Amino acid sequence: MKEQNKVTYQVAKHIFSILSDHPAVVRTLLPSYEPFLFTETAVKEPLFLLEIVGNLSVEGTKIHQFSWDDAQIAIYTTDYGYCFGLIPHNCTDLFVLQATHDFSSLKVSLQSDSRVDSFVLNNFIMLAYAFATASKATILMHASVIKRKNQGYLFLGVSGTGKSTHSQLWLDTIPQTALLNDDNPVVRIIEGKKIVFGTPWSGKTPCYKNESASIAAFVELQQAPSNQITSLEPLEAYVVLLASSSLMKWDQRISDGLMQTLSDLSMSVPVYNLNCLPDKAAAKLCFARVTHG
Amino acid sequence: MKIKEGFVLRDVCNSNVVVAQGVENIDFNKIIKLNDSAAYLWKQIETDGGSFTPDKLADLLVKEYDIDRETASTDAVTLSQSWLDAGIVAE
Repeated sequence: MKEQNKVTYQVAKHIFSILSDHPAVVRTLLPSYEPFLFTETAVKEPLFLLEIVGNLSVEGTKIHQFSWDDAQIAIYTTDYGYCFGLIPHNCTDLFVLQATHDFSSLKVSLQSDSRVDSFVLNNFIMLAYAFATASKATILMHASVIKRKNQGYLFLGVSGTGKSTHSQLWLDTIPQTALLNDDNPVVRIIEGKKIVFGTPWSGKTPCYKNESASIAAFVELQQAPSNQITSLEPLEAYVVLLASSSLMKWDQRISDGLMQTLSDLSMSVPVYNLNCLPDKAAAKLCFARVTHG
Repeated sequence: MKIKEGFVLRDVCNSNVVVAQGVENIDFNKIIKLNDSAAYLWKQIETDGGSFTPDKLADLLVKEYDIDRETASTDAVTLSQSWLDAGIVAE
């Protein structure tokens, strides 16, 4: 393996490499990853190595199929681990990802349409990251995140609830706030500390910050005719966090790893439910409660 | 009755909770909290291969707890029905 053919990134302190005959092309396919480029040479224990190869075909026994970010993905079990077949919406081509059981070594085949390749490679890397980190107290969450004075506030809720809108209300209303990520931050527990990290994955908002914050609170948003905030008991909190996590529960090792992390989080970090209107009063109420207990 | 494939007892937030794992339960997004005696019964059923009857649960309750047979039978029937309703066991 030639070192110069590798492009290495670091997201939430997990390092991974993409191996290709054309590493410069890989970087152009992944513009949102540029802030996460890792240039130090001594890489100890990378999370995974993903190799871009020629043609791959789907193998194994199909176990599941789901929608993921404008694509259909089917999962197959194989002798060596898992195989994924991805068909982007508005596209008839099938793209294949092969992974070992622990997701440490992966292969992907691309084509030559850079727009589609960019979409496919990005989604496969997200999948690989979510799976490979699940047993390492790391969760790829669905949330919009505000950072203020090094504290992170994560807004959760089903798509269309108004997570991004609520973040924007904080930015408009509360001083010293910044958007850390608008769609898929990474949450980690490192030596007991609960930390949220910016990622190359931020939905429709181009907000790719290689920064972190100490998690101050999770807030589950629900649209309502008036504003009201309540704190949740640990088990209620667990269910809320579970719903916002990229849970891959068909693999028991992955499922148990995520459950442990979510259980730790829901017992140690405040989790609230906010019934809210899309108005500044909601942001002010939320801010007052989550910053003053 | 029988514990459905993929439903396992776990410690979540210091509570006994039945969760769904495996591809057959991919759309089961609930968690079921068990009290101490229900968790005790679940563990006994698990070690015994997963099958049970309300009668067997009542036996286990009488053996482990200081209650009379009639109360145990009523509790066992109620519990079995609530597990059925929750979708974590099958007839």
